[in-house]
Amino acid sequence: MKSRSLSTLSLIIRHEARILVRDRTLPLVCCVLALMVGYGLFVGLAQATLRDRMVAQVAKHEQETQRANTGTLQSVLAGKSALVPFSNPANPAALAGTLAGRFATIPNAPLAALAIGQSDMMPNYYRISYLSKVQFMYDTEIENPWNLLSGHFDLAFVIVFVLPLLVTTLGYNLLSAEREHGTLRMLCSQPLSVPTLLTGKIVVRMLALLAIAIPLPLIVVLLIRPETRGVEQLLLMLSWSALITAYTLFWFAVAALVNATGLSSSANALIMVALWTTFVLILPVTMNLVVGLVSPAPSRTELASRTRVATAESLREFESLYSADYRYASDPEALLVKGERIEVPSRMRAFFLAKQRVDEKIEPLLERFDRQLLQQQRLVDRLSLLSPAILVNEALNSIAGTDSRRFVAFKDQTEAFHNKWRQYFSPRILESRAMTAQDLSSLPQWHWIEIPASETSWSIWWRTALMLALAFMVGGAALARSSRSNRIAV
Amino acid sequence: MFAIIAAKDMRELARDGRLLWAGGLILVLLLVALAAGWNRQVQLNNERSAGQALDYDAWLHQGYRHPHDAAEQGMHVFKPEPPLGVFDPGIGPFVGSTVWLQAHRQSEVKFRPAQDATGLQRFGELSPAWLLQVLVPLLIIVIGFNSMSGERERGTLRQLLSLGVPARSLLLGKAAALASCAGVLIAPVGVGFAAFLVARLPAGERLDVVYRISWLAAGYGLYLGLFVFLTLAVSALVRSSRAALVILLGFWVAATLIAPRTASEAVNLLYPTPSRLAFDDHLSHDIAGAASKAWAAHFGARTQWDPSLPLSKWGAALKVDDAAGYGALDENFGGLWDTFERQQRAQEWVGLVAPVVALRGFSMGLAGTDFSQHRDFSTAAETQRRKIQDIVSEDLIKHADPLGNAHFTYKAGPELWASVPPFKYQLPSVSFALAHHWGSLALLAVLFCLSVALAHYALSRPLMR
Amino acid sequence: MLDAIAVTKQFGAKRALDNVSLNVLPGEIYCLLGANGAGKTTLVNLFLNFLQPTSGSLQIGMIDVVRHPLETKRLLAYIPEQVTLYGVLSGLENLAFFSSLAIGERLPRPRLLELLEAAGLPRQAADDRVATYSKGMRQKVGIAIALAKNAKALLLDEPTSGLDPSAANEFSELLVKASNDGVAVLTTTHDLFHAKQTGTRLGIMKHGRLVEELRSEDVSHADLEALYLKHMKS
Ligand SMILES: Nc1ncnc2c1ncn2[C@@H]1O[C@H](COP(=O)(O)OP(=O)(O)OP(=O)(O)O)[C@@H](O)[C@H]1O
Ligand SMILES: [Mg+2]
Repeated sequence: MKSRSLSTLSLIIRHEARILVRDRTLPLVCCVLALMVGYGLFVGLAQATLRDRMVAQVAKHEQETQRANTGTLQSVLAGKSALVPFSNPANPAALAGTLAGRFATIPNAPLAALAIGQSDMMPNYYRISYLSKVQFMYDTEIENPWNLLSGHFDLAFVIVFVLPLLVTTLGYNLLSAEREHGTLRMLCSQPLSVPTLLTGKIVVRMLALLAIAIPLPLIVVLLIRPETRGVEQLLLMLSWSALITAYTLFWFAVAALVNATGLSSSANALIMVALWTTFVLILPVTMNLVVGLVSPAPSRTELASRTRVATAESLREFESLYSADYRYASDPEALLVKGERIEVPSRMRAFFLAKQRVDEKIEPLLERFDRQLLQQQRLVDRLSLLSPAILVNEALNSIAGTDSRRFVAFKDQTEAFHNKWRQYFSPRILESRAMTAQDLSSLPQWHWIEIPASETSWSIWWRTALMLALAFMVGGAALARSSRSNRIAV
Repeated sequence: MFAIIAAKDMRELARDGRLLWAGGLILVLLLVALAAGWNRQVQLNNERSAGQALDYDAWLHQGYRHPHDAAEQGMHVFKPEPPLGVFDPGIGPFVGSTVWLQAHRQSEVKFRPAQDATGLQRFGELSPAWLLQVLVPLLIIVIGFNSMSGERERGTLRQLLSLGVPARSLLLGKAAALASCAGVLIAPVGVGFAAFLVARLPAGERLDVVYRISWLAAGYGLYLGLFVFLTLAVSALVRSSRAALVILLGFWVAATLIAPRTASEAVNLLYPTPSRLAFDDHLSHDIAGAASKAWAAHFGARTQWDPSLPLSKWGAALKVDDAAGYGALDENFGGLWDTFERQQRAQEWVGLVAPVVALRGFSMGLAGTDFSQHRDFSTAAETQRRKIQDIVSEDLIKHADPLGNAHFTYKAGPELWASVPPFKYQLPSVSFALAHHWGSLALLAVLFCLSVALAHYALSRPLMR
Repeated sequence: MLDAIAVTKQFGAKRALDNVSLNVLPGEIYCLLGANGAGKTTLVNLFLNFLQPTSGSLQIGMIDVVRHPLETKRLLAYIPEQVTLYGVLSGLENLAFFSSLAIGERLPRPRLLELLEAAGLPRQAADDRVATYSKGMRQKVGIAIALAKNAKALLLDEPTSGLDPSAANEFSELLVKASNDGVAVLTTTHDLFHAKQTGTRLGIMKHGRLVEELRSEDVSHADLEALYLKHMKS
């Protein structure tokens, strides 16, 4: 009995494949998909390469500065170089600030090419110095805002937006076309159940779409980017494939359910487009609004005002340092390293201290922003249950390492590093200790600590599992309905 | 004759579930978007004008201080939200609105709202403009795809033609019915909101906003009209309702969703945007170059802040140094912004196949939320910063330079602070926007005429085949 | 073989079938006659489980149609008024597909050709796309499908309408041949002449009721016509 229905299923599958190839629907749709996947991947790869290059450039920059500082320090110590307070690396205040040449960078995740996510908007490096956080943490990557508004044509877009449309193209008339054409009567007079028929039809279409959407990008990425060949990355790719399969299955299940209602092809197409518009366009946009209303970000205007107040207060606090006599222009000798000491000009000390004080004062407010953003993200996680598109989009970005979570982690680590940087210099500046060649090579180093893989994979797999459950629920309903539906053939 | 047909079609559409459901949903979304946008705008504008006033007040009352330190504290200025930003926030979420005018730093507009939002922001912003650009065309397609093909399939077309109804009346009647269905949804809300908005504005700004609204109405009218006629044309040309629906939906998806993204990718290849690192490097290189030239010319110094320059010349040196930088800043930022504008203009050609691209630029422009108007604000803020800087340097030359090593003990007082005027920014007028965007409007008009011609051709062919 | 037991079918307020009982034995050709809307197609649809009866039951070979739809469909073949096939496939491919669906195994090409020939389709048309076929040719592929299935019961809904007289004759011959092999045939028709000629039993329906059942050998052509018209008028 079971083998009988299996052989029927495989017969239907072969038959469908032949029909779809003969009437050129399948080749056409597959070509469109292949083109779009290819282009989306190209865009993703281009962006990832751009960012890779940027990180490499930053590293080079950092090394060059380091080398230049070491050179200058040597000539300063040998008394060969004329002295300007801001460009004397023996002066800890100068090295902490203008000469720092330190960067915090976040490397691309290996699969970054699969989704651009937030990476076009969030900076992937910060320039570290003693400047206050408000001065450097809000630098952003340069991008035409119009392009940010349009969004990128990346693989995630193809999957989240276009793939369901192609599913709709292939699936809006699964049964209705057969009914309108009259072949459904012929089929139903054979020992064949409608659920088997539906399953067979969906399997062919789904295999065809997935055979392009999944292997194509993975193979390209594996070939072009050697860093994707680790076990961890392969696992991520597996979850990526599972996610896409689940999402495709969901849309086919929706198509099956719509077809099981027994309406006309046009009505089916309308319903499918209405559902697509709701899930992919309207719900995310509305939820964005809801998130902003329920959990609004604190006011940036307030931050600006607070910064001003804090700056004014710290200027006042260090007033005496700011206005101390400045004799280094007329007496450069004063800047020489004497023993282990160097005179840090009081104005420079004032800069350092004032910036530090500003940060201390606005820290709570900045924390409020971070907390708020985290809260918003949690809200999104919960609301994303309402729309498969959001669910999948978030998971795709997680896999590619371009989700907001990773950038928030980057910001946090940068802040910590910035504090460390200051703490390193603070005693040296206060005690007027000169920087030595040895110090220069043991300055605080930036290390990006990747978010734990377990955290990412958890956030990906629960979404995938949910997507699958949803797909099976809808699909089950569709099959149940189609087997009960008695008017399907008439 | 055409009125009879329009009336009959409208009755049919009114009895059909499609218009009721889809239209109802759009109407609700429209109201929500307007309410949320209005709320946000009022709050932001109040906050910003209060913030800016406080800031200036603090500037005036900062007490006695070395002018250079005062410039260090600087001044915050905020971009006012244009009144029609409620209708179309444009690039707003992706550009900041706050500038901290500080010494020696080109004022950059910071705090992009999108950075304070989640990844959802990238799906788009629920704004009335988005609804009119994306969903209303879909509505027109959904209610109109079978307006001709349906008549043919039911056989009523045979009936109509046998009665001697001319094709022209048929076209006009059907177009009028579709357009009035869309109009009934949008017009009351639109007119109501426009009246509300204009009434709340100070009298001086009213006229400008009224002009902007009328131009917007024209642009959107052409755009939606284009969809009405296109829908009719396809419905008449194609054999079955199903085919008409599939073709129209395909066009809608390609034109409103895929084309804008593809266009922005393509122009990025054509006019590449520099990375920040490259841009910053280039800028500092240019500034350093210009500065050393200026230092050599004015003080005979080999490098910037050369130790050979006595402290008594630092006021003058600041002035020379700053002035040398202005050129490099103008050139670099100007170049970057020109690139952005060139990118956008290039994209507008895509409007030929995807009218939404043309409309989007036009809509933002007239709402005052496009890049050119953002650039105008940035330029104004930078001018203010230079004003502060110049006043400060001048004062230093006069007072601090004679003090020798005690240069930094000099303290300026309230008179100097008061000599810096408050930052007053006037939003550009409608003519500024039109000068930038008349091309898009012309493009929309051409497309509209083409769609009318296509519909006319489709209906004047023998209809019964 | 084909049994309808006190079947009633209600469409909302409309009663399409009213307590109809009928039984077709192996080797019989049962012709259902009746005006438009009398309920003939509804009865055929019920046997196919395309519709479910409001009350009563239907059986094919003593198996209940509603409870075991797949088993009963294995026993029967169905040829609708319009045999609709996949236009992009050839007649042979269509036959191959439907026959493997029906019997669960793929028949070899020579056997398929044999079946098409038995159904009367010209050999050279077998590999043409069905989109190019005439109505009669499609009907013949339908017959071939039924033949391939080796069905115990045959359901036909106005099979000869729209066929030219010689094609209709050929068709009738095939029916007779099938019934001689022990197949139970239920066919609806408006063609009294053919019904009398090929049918072994005749049933006349009116407003959902089976108002008359008779053996065709018991009446002459003229009697049948008179009887039919009498029922229609009253
Ligand atoms: N799906 C349905 N829903 C509602 N009423 C139906 C349905 N199918 C058939 N009917 C009604 O049932 C009655 C019987 O229809 P049926 O198609 O069985 O007639 P018929 O004898 O085959 O007529 P014809 O000779 O025209 O083919 C008709 O009045 C028809 O209107
Ligand atoms: Mg009938």
